[in-house]
Amino acid sequence: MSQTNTEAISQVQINQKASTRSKLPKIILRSLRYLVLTLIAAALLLPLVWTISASLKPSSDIFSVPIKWIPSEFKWDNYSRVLSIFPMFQYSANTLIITISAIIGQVLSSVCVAYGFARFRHPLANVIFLLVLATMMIPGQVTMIPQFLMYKEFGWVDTYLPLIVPNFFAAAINIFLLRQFIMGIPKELDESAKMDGCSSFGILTRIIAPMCKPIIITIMIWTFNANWNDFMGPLIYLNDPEKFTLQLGIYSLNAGQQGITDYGMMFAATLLALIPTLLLFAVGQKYFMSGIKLGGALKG
Amino acid sequence: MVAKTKQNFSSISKHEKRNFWIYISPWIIGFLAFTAIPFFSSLGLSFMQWDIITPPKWVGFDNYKELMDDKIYFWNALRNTIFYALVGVPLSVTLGLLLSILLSKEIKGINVFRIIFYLPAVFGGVAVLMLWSYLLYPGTGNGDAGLINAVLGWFGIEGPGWSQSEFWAKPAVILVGLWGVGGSMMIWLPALAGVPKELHEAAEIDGASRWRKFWSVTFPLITPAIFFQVTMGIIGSFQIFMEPKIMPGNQKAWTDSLMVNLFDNAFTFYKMGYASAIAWVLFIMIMVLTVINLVVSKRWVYYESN
Amino acid sequence: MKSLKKILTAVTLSATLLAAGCSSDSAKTSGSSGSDGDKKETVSFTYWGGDFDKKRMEAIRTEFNKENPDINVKLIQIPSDGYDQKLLTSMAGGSSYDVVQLAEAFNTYAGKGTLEDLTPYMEKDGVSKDDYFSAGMEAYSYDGKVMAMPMRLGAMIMLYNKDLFDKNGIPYPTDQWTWEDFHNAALKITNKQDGVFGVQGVGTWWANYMAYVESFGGSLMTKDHTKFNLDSPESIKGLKFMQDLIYKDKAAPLASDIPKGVDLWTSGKIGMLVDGPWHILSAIANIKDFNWEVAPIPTGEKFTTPLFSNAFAIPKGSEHKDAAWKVVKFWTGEVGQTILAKEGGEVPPLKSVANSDVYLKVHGDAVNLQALVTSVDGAFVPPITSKWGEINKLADTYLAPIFSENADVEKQLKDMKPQVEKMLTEAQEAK
Repeated sequence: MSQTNTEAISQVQINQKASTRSKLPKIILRSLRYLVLTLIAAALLLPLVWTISASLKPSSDIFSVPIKWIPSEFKWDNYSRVLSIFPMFQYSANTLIITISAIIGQVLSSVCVAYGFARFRHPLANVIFLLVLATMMIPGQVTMIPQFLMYKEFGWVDTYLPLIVPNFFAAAINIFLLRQFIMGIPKELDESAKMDGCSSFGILTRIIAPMCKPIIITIMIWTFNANWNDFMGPLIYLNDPEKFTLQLGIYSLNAGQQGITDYGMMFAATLLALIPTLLLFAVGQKYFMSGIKLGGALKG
Repeated sequence: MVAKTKQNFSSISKHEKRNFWIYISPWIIGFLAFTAIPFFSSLGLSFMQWDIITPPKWVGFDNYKELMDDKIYFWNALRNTIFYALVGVPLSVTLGLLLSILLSKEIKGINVFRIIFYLPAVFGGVAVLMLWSYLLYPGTGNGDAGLINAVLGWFGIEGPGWSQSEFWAKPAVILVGLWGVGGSMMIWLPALAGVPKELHEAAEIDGASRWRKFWSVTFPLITPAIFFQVTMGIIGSFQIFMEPKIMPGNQKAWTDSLMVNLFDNAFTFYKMGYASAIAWVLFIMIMVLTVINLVVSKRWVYYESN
Repeated sequence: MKSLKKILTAVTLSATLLAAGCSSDSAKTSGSSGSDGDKKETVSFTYWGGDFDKKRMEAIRTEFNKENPDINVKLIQIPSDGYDQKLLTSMAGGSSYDVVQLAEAFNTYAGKGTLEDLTPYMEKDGVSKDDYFSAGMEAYSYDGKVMAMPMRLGAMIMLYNKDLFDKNGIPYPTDQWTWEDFHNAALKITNKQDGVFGVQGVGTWWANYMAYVESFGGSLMTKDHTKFNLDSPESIKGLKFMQDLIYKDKAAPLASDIPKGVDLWTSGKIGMLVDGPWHILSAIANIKDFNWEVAPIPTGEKFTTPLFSNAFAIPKGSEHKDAAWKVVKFWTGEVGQTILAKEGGEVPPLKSVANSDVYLKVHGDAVNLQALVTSVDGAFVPPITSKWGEINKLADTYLAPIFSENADVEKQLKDMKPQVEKMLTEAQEAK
């Protein structure tokens, strides 16, 4: 069955539908979709609203019984104080150096490795792929100290190297995700590119990588979040306060005077740190649906 | 559907084999340079006694024997962990997919909805801990119920005791995890977008219902993503840690997972060797499930390129 | 099997033993950060906490620099949440610090021989143990040697809502208060309609249950740390008293009914709060709607209450021990302690400072800090052994049903006993 034929027929089909069935169900369906979305969104937003309100409250209001939704007085200085307690801009800049390097490293290396797994056969491929997955199955808590001792031998402690360099060697989860996606791309595309004289590397850069754009965006966002919010890594490896990251600063707010935490300020800091994460997602989500336009390549 | 039975390795050209190694070499180098030593060290440590401060001592299988005899913590934590996996994985995969289908249609304002649904996935740290205690607060018996039970109350439902009740403590932990399920749209949305519209239209010609369209058109094409989510779900649920830490039951035995047990041993009891043994038991269980999953996947996962 | 063992050992040791064994080697690289031309000796000093702690530490350093221009103190503030892991990791590779802050982990580090014995330094400089609260010194001695100097002390105390006492016509607590007085007051104050409880502070946290048990004449284990003692008649009396407050008298909320953060005390719903001294500064800052005051906890067989503390120690791997000692001595000496005293919160371990008006009158007459000093003076040191973490977990496991399900006290203790004794035996063997 040819492509044009299918389209023509389906167009007719749609027109018929529109005329035979009344328009009402479509409107109802759409409203229903909005209704469901709105209800879930409201449920998900409630905690955020509570946190925003908490970030503006004096400490005595936050955990009062019963709940107070509107602060008795608005403590805007919860936000300004966050900035005065630790050098937020310097720490953000430090974190950004690590995060951007990590994103570049992960994207380049994961695409390359996943392509290797998805497109080339080898008797050992399955075993090695299982080994890739295996690295995710040992919890970090037990490898953390041997790893620290290893980096110490390298002389990398108190530098950003342990936090950046491993990112250039592809994380297992990214390899896995990209492999799944690339395997969903019809091989015919590769073949036709090959006919046009593309090398395997050319296929990767001109065909595969562009098609993986939505997934690459996902990996960028993941890598950003993982590094932006990482607490344990910087905690273990950094000693010099000049090199500290944002999360080290935010965690230090979780102990105010003699064990009593200034929650208002802590919530303010948490919300501030959330902004870049959300911005990145807001920009990135537009690309999630830019799926593969398979067009004529489809098997009929 | 294509079911490849046996691969004929002899048909693979030398050139293809060489390319395989070239492209995966970044991972191989990284593994040898950074991952292998800590990875196998933890295996070695599981046969040793190590308090982290003084040098480790070889004890053979003692850690594993002790583990098998530990009815109070290990077996209990194992039972809890299996509960989390059995209940949590299917729920989070299905819910994540359903939400993503809702979010996949490019209707007006969908961007805003996506951001809102995604938000809980990145809303972390101490704030969330406070939040959940507050939300699932069953009340002191004089009407000061938490938000969730208060909302249930509007509909005349008497909310459960959540963390205060042996039966509801584990579901409460799973609920905390499900709150962030919207984050999985980052995988579902690209996968759903990969389903060509032409196929839907073709199905419509055959007069297929929505339900039918989903099963015969959408579902096969997103099986690679489902496979990814199930595999990661298994790994994640066996390593569940933050949620039971955030929302422990009134008695921690109700909710403690293997990872909580592992963490206690490593950093509170200074028993790193024993903690490593737990890690390797965990490893073997996840590995077995993953291998089964991989083998079974050949029957139901459909790759366009095969 | 043999060769497998060899390979595994080799791989593991290459990563762990190597670095762990070379503490002197690693100290060299880390301690020499002051090598930027000037002849200053750099002491790296790590501590936990937030902004408040940072201000205190920096204020003391400013004073220290005036007297010791040749020593550069590099302060490294670590968030409390990750401090234990950070310290443990760094200790695994041979500590990179010259001074470290310790609390409950002290016993483990001292027991593994990783800390410098401070006794000779104290003798040389004429620092006397007797100038400090005895519990503070006892907590940081190991085998009769002082291995860390206490920096801040505290104890379980009782905060009470004066307005609720007035409303019910109850006289305020005194130092002579008994548990019976406490019990009577709790019954009168409890008011179900208003959601008011007489008492808060019944739970499985060690300081919670030990406050009652020790005061009733019992204890978790015998003094020599060899036998379980929570099943002695005195201990059981204490535990049952706690259980009755919840289930019989309904005068205390279930510990589990109060989620983390929800603050019934600050909301004025609690008559008497048995908890740590950190509530004092919080109450000053946050309580506007009612009058409150501090008192020692009531007296049972004797007056005693759990001690809270933290201290500074010098790791054996330090290459700047003399300078490090100067730092420790200054921080825990009169100048450092006076700066701490002016916060008006935790008690300075140096008796002369704690008993001076500098500390006692920080808040004028608004808060009875004398009650806290009295508590610290009579406090007992928690029975911390190298199995402290595991024993606390056991206590939580077996005591939780008593306070949350009204489980039978004797039965829980019977199940708990062999588990705890196994730990005690292991702790003895490890010595």
